[in-house]
Amino acid sequence: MNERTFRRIQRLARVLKLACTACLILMPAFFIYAIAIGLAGEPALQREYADYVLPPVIPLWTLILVRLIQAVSVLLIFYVLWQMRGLFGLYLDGETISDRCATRIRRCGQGLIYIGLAGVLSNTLIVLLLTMVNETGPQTLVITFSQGDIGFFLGGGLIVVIGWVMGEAARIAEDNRGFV
Amino acid sequence: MEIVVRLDVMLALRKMKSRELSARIGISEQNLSLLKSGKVKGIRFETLAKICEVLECQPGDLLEAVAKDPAAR
Repeated sequence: MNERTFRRIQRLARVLKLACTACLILMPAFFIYAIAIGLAGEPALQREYADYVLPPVIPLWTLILVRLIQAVSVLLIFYVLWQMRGLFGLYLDGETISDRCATRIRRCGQGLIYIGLAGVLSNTLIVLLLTMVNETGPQTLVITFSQGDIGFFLGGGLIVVIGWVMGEAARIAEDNRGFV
Repeated sequence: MEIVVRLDVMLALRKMKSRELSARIGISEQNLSLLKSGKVKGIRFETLAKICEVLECQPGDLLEAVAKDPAAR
């Protein structure tokens, strides 16, 4: 790798690592703020799922369960951000083609696939949970694939494959180091 | 069979220091030391050709195939 490319990687990695760190700090702060101003309460949930026939009063346990299901996706986003931060940290330290980088890339991809999967499953579960307590209205089972979910699946799959290729490249680079 | 590197012998015959050879062929002293001790997986033809050129010898003067020591197995 030539010096110019190496410097470019390090420059970009520094910015991206900072961005990931900022997201990791700001996201929990945003969620705490959202809960504090009541955006996680029942009226907000009624608004979020206004397309479905919901009971007039959502029980507290359902509300908590719905928010916990939604929290899974948020935790997965944290996981991917953490892995990305680690990867950019390695790039910043000058480690570009190594098994550690490949592992981080693979984990990012896997995380994105899980986010896509959680997006599909959580919506199904949440709508089922909300309509299950419906006494007057129908109970609904929905399976939705949004463009975002498909994007996460494809993007995540692509990154996992790149991670495997990087692992192989790291192995070859290590092998080459044994030659003089 | 295993390949043994006889570079130290050739360097002694040519009365040349490792440092000088490494500078003339453009590889690090550390890598040359690894090559001399046989602690490398292989040698590139390019490196071999440069060593042969500087030491005015043939690849066969630098490398030797010897039977493996049964006790070492």
